[in-house]
Amino acid sequence: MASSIDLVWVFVGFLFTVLILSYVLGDNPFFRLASYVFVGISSAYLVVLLIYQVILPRLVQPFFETSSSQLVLHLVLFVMCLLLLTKLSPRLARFGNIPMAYLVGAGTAVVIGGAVLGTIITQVKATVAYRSASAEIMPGIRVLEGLVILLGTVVTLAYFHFGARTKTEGETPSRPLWLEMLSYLGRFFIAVTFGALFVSVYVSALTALIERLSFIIQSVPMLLKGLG
Amino acid sequence: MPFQEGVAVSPSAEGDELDWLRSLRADAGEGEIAGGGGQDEGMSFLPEQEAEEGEPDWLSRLNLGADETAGEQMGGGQRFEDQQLEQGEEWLQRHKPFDLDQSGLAQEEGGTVIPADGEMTERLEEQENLGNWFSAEPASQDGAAGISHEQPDWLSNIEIEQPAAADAESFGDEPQLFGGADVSGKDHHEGDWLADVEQYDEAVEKPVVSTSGVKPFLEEDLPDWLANYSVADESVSAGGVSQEGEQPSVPFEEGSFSNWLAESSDVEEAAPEVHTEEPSELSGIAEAQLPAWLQAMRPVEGLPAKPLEGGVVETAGPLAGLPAVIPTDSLAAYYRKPPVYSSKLRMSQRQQQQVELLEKMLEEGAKPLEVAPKKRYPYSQRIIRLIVGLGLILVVALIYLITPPGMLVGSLSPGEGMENFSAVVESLPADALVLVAMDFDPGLGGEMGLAAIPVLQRLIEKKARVALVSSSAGGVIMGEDLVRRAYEELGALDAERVGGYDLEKKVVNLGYLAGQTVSLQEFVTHPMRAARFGLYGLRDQKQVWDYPALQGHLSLTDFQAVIVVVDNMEAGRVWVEQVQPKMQGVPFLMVSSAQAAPLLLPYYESAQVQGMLVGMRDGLFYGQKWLMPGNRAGFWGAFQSGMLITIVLLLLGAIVQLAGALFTRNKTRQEG
Repeated sequence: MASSIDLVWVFVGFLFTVLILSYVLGDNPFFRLASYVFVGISSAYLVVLLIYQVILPRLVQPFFETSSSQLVLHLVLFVMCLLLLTKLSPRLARFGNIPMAYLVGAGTAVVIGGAVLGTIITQVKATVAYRSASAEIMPGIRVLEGLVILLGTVVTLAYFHFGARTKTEGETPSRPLWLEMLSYLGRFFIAVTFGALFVSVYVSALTALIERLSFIIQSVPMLLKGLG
Repeated sequence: MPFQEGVAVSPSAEGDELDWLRSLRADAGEGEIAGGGGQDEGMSFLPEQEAEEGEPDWLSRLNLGADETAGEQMGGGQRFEDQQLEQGEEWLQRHKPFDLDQSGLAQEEGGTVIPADGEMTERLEEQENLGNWFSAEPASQDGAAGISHEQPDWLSNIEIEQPAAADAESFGDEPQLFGGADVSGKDHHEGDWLADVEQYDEAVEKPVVSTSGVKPFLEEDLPDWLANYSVADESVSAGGVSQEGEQPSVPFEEGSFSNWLAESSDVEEAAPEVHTEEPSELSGIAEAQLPAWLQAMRPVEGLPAKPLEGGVVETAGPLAGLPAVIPTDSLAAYYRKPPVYSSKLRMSQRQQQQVELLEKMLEEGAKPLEVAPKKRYPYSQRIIRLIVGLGLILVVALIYLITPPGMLVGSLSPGEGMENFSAVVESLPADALVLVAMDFDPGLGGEMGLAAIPVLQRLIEKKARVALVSSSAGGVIMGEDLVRRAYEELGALDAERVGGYDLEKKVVNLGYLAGQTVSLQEFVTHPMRAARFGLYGLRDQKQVWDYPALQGHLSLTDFQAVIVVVDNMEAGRVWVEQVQPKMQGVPFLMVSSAQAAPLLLPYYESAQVQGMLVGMRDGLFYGQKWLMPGNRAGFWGAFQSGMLITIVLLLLGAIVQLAGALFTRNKTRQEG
């Protein structure tokens, strides 16, 4: 038996779900009301989360630590945070460049290092040593799959090769014929890729719709029972 | 040609100088008449009053010295002077003392404008300083006035030979004050006496002693008389005679004077008196008495050598009444058009082709896109959207409602990733410590719940300790909600399956990792610092690592497995890049949404991710495999119907568009 509090929240969830689904009728005040409430609640939630998850534990709490070394370190971080606040003022914004430079530099270094070691190198190695379950069953399939991967990679790269030259003066610059053919084939691979991505997005959206409809279907008898 | 301004060599001293004049006349009769040695009339005429009263001593010495020098070196010029002495006594009487106050300028017969006041005083003072050397200076011979009165044959020939275009050419070359006497070396055929003008200009502009032997003309081009004179001139220069203060006779054409200068011919003959008398008078006038503005306004340097026809008559100021003095209106005509330099850019053919290509691209980009006219359909787009939307909702809801809850999901086999995922989870020991990263937003909470809840229920069933963490703000709370729902649904289905599982002790929330990539890097290297208090550490006044679920575990390698629940590709990639390499063999699993799966599957294919569960479909299969609660058949049926409706609508749309295109083409052909 759901408590009254649960019924309230179920009702709130039901109401806002219906308001959002009203967009099928076009943009209307009910949909905008639900959108604004969602934006407001998200902002408030984010502020509370940052206060309790970032500012207090990582900026204020360290000053109550007994270790002097940590105190000095956190004092530096505190000053950096204050300098970051100067970005709010155009006149004092230049003082915020120091922490911004630190953030951007450190962040870039971390991202690049992870991308090189975690994605590029490993993905190249995996592409070379491609394996699949079907390939283990039919060894000939492995060769075919490898060729498809190689062909798709080459023609896709060829599509993004925009260099052109003219054979005779006054002629419109154009790519060589063989490059044009590869580029045309590359368009096919790119279209398949974007199609697969679109289907994936649509599947996610359809799943969300089904989940919400399931919630509504389950909520109606619950609310009716609660009201009754 | 050397010329002494104001030199008192005058025939007016005839009374006192008869002896030397006679001797001079005798020498002249023997000498050869030189064309360029025209006498300066200014030198030849002195006011008769002074001539009668007698000549000063210094003037006598000058005359004597000049006569001697002239007699020796300039026979032609002196001869001309003597002729004037003989023939010009009548007109000599007509000359009156020149009144400086009339125009402020003293004009010399040769057309040279002699500035009055301060400049005149300076020149006269210079002449006084010349001292004895002046007596050795040859007398000036040339003079336009002399030519006009009585010209020797050679001088008449010179005038005839001077082309009128020569002046125009000289004017066209560059504007010159006194430009009427163009003395450039290339024009020496116009009259050799022009060389004298050049020397004069140089002497006036640069009052520096010039003893160089540079000659303006080639030796072979000089006439004989000029060659003789050149020799005499060189001898004078070699003798240390300074040309400062020298003024050559300027043989300008008569027409080259300004109008006002030509009109003042009545007084120009009195100029010699100015040269002789003014030094004593003007020397007493302080230069400071001349106002600066008047100094700047003096037209002496700005007067064109040629008369400006139709010039403006000055109506005010010290130049009042003088026409064409300031050549402001026609000044532009004196200047040559500036040379035009080529600005053509040099480039190779390849560069030219690239430029053309770029221009073509820019032209194509600048072309306005042709906006297709809005097609008018017999039906409203809004109605179609309403029908499609409502139809989809109704069909999906209807299928969900009519599907029996206990019905099994279709016969589709689960993916390889899900099987590996399940195998890894089943390999976990009881009471295993599992790190579950909840990096998804509430927008896709429905799909992620359908995928992740069965996994969480299986972990709960296996009594695993779960540590939640999120680098997404929404994921912190959403993760806790999923765990709670999994526990409640599993408990609602079968309480024994959750028996002994205490959420407070088995589940801990490490909280929010602000900064995503950087914070994940810190979380891997220093987990206790990155997630120090967790979500409830401040409330409970203890660090998150002191909670029962994490007691005794201080690093990420203490976890038996890492499960990342993500709804977007970026979050999953960051976890794989930053965390997976540091896990040192700890199984790395991933629960992904359908939209992020295509871009995350390569990490599974490369074995960086050991197991992958994608979206609702894999979640349903996983739940069915482990008999988890939920209306899986309803969800799967609704999903299949929804996809079927979508495919049908796409096909219908494609058919309608194709038919419309064919109809339009046929209609166009018929009309055409």
